[in-house]
Amino acid sequence: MAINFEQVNFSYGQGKLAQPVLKDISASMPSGEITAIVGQTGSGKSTLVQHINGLLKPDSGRVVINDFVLTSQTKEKDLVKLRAQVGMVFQFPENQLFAETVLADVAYGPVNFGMGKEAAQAAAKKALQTVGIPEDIWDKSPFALSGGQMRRVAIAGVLATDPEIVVMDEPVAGLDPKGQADLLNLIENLKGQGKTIVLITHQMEQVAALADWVVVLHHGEVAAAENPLALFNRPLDWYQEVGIDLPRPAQFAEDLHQGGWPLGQRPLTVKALASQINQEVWGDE
Amino acid sequence: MDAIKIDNLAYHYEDQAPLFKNFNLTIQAGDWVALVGHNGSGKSTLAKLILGLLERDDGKITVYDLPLTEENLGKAREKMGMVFQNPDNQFVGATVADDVAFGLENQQVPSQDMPAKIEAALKTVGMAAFADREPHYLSGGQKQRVALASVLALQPKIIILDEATAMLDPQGRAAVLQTLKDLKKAYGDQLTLIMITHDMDEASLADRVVVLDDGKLVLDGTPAEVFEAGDQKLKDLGLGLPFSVQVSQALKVQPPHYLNQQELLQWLLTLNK
Repeated sequence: MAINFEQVNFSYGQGKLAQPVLKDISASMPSGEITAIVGQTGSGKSTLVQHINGLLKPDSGRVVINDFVLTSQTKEKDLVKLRAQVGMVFQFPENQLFAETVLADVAYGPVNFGMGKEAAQAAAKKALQTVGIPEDIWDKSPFALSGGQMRRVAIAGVLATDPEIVVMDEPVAGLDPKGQADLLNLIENLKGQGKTIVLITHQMEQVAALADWVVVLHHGEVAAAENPLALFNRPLDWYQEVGIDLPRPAQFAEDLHQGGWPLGQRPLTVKALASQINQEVWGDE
Repeated sequence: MDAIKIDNLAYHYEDQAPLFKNFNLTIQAGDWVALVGHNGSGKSTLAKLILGLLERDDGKITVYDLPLTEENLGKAREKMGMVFQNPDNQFVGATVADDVAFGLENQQVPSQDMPAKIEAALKTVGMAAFADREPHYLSGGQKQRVALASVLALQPKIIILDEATAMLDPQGRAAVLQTLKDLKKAYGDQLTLIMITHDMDEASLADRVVVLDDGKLVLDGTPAEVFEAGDQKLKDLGLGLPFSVQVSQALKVQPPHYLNQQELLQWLLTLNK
C-alpha cells in the first residue's frame, strides 16, 4: 500500500490557454512513512497533493492511492471513498474554522461523513487529545485561541475522520518556534500511529529532521525522489538549478569547505555539524 | 532623538486580564529593533497601540515628540508605515504602480509628483520592472516588497513590520531581509525599523532585540547581549536561539563571546590555520 503517481499530466485551463503544471509525474510516497514534497513556489507542489484526495484529477496517467485508482474518468460520487481515506490540511487551515465551539468544529467532519452525533463527538474528542488541546478549552470559541492552538484544532478536524493518509500543506508556516516544535512532534506521533504523511514544506531543516522520503519538483517535473541523506549530498550546483536550499548545518559545512576545510558527508543537524567541527579543530571523536 | 517613547502604558482586551501594565519602552531614531516573543506575547498589540489602531487604557505614547492623542493621530501616523504578515491582504490597486499610488492619493500628493515617487519607491525595493504587473501574479516575497514600497513612498520616519516574512518561502524571505538591509544602509538615522518576529536568526540582524512575554519586557539589548545573557530565558520562553548560537553551544571549546553566523565562520577558519 502506498501512493503511486504513474505518468501523471495535469494542466490548468484547456486548449491554447492550457498551462501545464504537472508533466509526466511518476513518484511513490511509501505507506506509514513521512514524505516531504519540496520545490520552489510555482513548481507544482500544491497541485500534486490535491491529486491525492481527488480534488484534482489527472488529465492523463493515474494516481493509485492504496486500492483506489484515480484517473480523468473517475466519477465525483466515487471520490467519497477516497476522501474517507485521505485527510487534507490546507495552508493556514485555521482560516477555515467556523463553529461556535472547538468541539463542534472538530466534530463537523465526522458528521459530514455520516457518523451519528455521539460517535462524531467521541471521534472529535479523541482527535483533540491527539493534537494536545486540553479539555478545558473544548467548549471555548476556536477564535479565542492562540495561533498555534487554532492550527491544531483545524488539524484535529481533519484527524477526526481517522484518515489513513494525512496530507499537509506547509503545516508549521507562521507559527512561533514552540508552536512549530509541538506540531512537528504531532506529525511524528501520527507516523507512530501508522499513518502515511505527505507534507509540503520549504524548510529543509524540517525535511532533514522528519522526512523518510523526499520528492523534489521543478517546473512540474520530478527532479529527485530519494531519502534526505541522498538528497542533501548532491553536487552544489544542482540545488541552484532546482531552487532549493541545503539545511543550514549542511550549508555552513559548505561555507567552511569554501574556506579550505575538508568536507565529508554533509551534516544535516546542528549536532552532526558540531561534531564534525570538534573533530576538525580539536581532534575530538 | 527618540522615535518612539512609551511611558506607563496600560492595555487590556475586553474580558481579559491586563496585557500591558506600566510598560515602558524608548526607541531611538534610526534604530533597527527586533520585537520578539511567542504568539500572544503582546508584540502585535504593541504595534497597534503605537499606530493608534487600538486605544490604550492609560499611559503616554510619543512619536517624534508628538504625543499620540486624538487630535495628533493623523499627524503621528504620517510618520509611520506598517507592513503586515499576509501578503495577500494588503493590495488595493489593479497594478503594482496603482497600489503604491493609493497611499499617495490618500495623502493628497499632487498627481504630477506621483510617477516619480512611485518609481523611486519601487526602485528602492527592486520592483521597478514590475510596475505595470497585477499584484495577484507576484510571488509572496515580491508582494511584500511592493507593500514595503507603498509604505516607503509616503516617506515615513518609522516602518513597523509585523511578521512580514512569516508566510514567505526562503527565497522570498531572503529578498525581503536584503531589502531591509539596503534600506537601513540608504536611510541611516532617517529611518527607524521595528521588526516584529519570532525568528531568532531574523532578530539577530537588528541593532537591538527586545523580548516580550505576556506584555512584559523580559530582555532588551544588542543581539550579543540578549543571546549571551538570555539564552536560557529564550529557551524557557520557547523561542529558541539563532543558528550560530546553537552551533557555538555544541562546540568543544566555545567562542569567547556571541558571534553571528559570519563571525562564527571566520572564527573557526582562523582557529584552524
